[in-house]
Amino acid sequence: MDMPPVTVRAKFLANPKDTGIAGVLMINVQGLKWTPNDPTSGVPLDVKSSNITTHQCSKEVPGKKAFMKVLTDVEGRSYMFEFQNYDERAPARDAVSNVLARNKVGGSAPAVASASSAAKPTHGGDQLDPVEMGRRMKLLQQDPDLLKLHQQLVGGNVLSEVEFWATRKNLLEDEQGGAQKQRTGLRSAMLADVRPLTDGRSNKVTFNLTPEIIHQIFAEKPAVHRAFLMNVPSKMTESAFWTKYCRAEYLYRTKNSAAAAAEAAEDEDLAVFTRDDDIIAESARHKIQRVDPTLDMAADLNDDYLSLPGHGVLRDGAKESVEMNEGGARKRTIIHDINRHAAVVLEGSPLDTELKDTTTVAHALARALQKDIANEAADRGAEKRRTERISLMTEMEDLQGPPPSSFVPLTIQDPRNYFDSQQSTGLEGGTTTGSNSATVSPAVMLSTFKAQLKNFQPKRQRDPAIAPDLAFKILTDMTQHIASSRHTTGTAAERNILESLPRATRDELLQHSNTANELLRHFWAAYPLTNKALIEKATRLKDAMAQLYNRIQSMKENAATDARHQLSRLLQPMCQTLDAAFAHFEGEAAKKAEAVKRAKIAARPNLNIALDGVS
Amino acid sequence: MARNPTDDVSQVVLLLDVNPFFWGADAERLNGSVGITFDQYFQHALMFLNGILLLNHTNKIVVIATGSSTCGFLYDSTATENISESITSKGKTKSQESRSELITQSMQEFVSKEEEAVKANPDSSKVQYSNFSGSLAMALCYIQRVLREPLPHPQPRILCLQGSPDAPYQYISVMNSIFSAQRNGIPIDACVIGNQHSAFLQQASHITGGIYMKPPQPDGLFEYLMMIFATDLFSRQFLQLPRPVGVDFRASCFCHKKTIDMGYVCSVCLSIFCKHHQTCSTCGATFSKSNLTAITGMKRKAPPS
Repeated sequence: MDMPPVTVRAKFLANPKDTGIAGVLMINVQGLKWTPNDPTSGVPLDVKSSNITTHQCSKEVPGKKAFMKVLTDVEGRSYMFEFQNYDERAPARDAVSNVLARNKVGGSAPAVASASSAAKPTHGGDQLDPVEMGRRMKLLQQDPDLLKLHQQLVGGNVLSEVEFWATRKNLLEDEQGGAQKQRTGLRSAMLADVRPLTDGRSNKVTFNLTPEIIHQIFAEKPAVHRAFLMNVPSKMTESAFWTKYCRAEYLYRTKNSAAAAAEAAEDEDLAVFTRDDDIIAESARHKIQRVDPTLDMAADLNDDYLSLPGHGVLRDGAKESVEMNEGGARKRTIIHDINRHAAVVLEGSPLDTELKDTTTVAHALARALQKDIANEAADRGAEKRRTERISLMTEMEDLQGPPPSSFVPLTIQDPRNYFDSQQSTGLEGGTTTGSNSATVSPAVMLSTFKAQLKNFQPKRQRDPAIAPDLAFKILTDMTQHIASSRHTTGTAAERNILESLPRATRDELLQHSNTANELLRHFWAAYPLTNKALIEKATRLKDAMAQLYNRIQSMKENAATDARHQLSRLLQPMCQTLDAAFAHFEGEAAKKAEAVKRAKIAARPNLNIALDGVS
Repeated sequence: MARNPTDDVSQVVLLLDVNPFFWGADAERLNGSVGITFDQYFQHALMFLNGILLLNHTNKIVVIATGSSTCGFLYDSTATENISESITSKGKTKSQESRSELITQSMQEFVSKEEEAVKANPDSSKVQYSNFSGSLAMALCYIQRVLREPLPHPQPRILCLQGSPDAPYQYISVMNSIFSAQRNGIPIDACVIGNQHSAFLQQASHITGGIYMKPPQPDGLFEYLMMIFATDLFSRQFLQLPRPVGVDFRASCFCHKKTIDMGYVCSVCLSIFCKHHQTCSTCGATFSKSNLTAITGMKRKAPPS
């Protein structure tokens, strides 16, 4: 389907309040061109089709002006055009939507598009890029109802592919949105140590480091991160760095703390790994500032058995406790590690960049940290807020006023008026229905009633209380009434009917209703019929609906006798909506015929005059 | 489903419509419209009460008479238990008779009081209505007292036997009673013997989950009562009871107490009015009539001009 260029008169409005500059708008495959009638009055516009993102049209209200707004992705610029009338706008609007549809095709040349559309005429020439196509396919696969609808309408040439999907943009967008999956955070499992693989035969110890592991090491051990940033490109190679790290870890792991210390003394670079993490301490100071000020950590220190020798879980048992007793430089208890790990996981800022190699990981993490620090620097008023918090925390509850209630009590403005009015106005309004009292005076009624009551003898037992035939009649009536009301007007009757139908019928019914909805949606969207394409579309849809109507009728006829009544009840609303659409179509057609006739009549005098002139 | 030992023990509060003018007017027209005379009606009600007590010997009944301007307790099975016991010791069948006698006796007292009340305030326009809101409130108060007694208490329910038409001026108090019944989980059953359906009772049974019924054959009232309204709340789970086809949800306006189809509702307190007011008469909220539509219309017109 090659797109013919469209040329219309249109005013360009630099802003919505302008009167506009008269000119000519040309839309073709390449894009949109507007040239002013008077070359001095404005600059010609040229918008490339690839830049157009979307377009909006004002509502077709008689007496209002016809606007079209074209939005582009170039600096979010948009262009507003005013047309003479809606009929002139319609082709422009369609052309822009065609251009937009083509945009989705991507960079495919128009020639290719037209060639492929010739090969596949049913798809209306709107070739799609594979991503869009894949998305549609996926949607169709997921939703069998949609697939059926698609087969029926698009396959049956009732709707074009574009038309079908135009109403389902949101579905497609959802699908697209779903593609951006939730980012995975850090694992809560403690990696802590890179387990060495010891080869039994040789004396080699192998460490496996993946970018993820490295990320975690960096995050949990800032000292290592710092060392990496400082040393790696300049002083040593990456592998050398990690060898050193692993060595330190290994020595530490094998509980050879003395050896580790010795080595650390020798190698300055290695020492970084084993040194106390002053960065952690720094961040801890920062965090303490944000802790609830009423919480006295020092007071809890006495409860901390972990700091006492022989208590708590120490990482590797005996060796380390010895080390602690020595008051060694390294006091890495497992509880520290767990806390550190928990903090990192909770902060949980996975890196945006893909984890490829260690250098990028290190730098990305550094950037992330920088951002955090910058954030912290931004809120310098930390101290002030701390004092504010203290005053907030140390609020004395019993010095506060009662809490405001969560609801507004109803205050009756004038209770007497409210309650008394019930009595007083009853007098006025009462007579309206007082037909009874009009016929018989109250005094008479009262005396009659008293006579009745006097006659009443509680001891006199009527036998029987109710005549047997009456009792039987009531019994049967009652039973029938309950049975029938249960059948027809149950609370969940509608659903039950649908459930009670045979599966095949139910599926058919649901499919028909889906089809009807889809057809009706397109049908009503086609109105008002401003151009030929829309008229064709409406006619096509009307025919499809007529077919559907016949199918529904035949379905009703073929249904089992007991289900037919319920089926027709279910189908009734659907038939009514279809009827309304037919009525509208015919009404419009009649109106149009009328208009044409009137136009002819109006044209005739001219013709006569012309003839007169000739004769 | 855990079964409570008192599941099928009922506390039935019967609201008996004894509006002398309704029954008297009806008798004047020779049973034309209602199809049941007062003595039949009363007889059936008494048989029904005895039937309730027969269903479970721990069932409790209370009878409240609704007159045109007054209402009062006619009978309370717990209060008269001692008397009836003393009578039963004399003879077995006496108990039931005495109960009927007791009720009849208090009914006569009630009617004479009612007569005095009417004579004191001879207002012919209101007599056709029964003081339904009053008796409903009495029933709820009574049930509230029962529910505050130590456990186990019987399952309370209210049965309204109504003949006279709804009084629109009672709308607010009736609705308030209905909602408090709903809060306390007390179903209100309704059996309407009059000519027209009762919107109040339809709404009451709809809201509280009771049964609404207008017997097509009022002279067989007893049968309807026993078939439908004698069922205790526990058994109702398993029984198919008549379901109303529709409920008349129309309300009365607060200003003129007229039954209306459409009206204005205060956005603050939900009071209903038949026409637009500057301020809500109930809560005093002022409704500023800002011409929202006009403003938006002006905005829309502005750009093209």
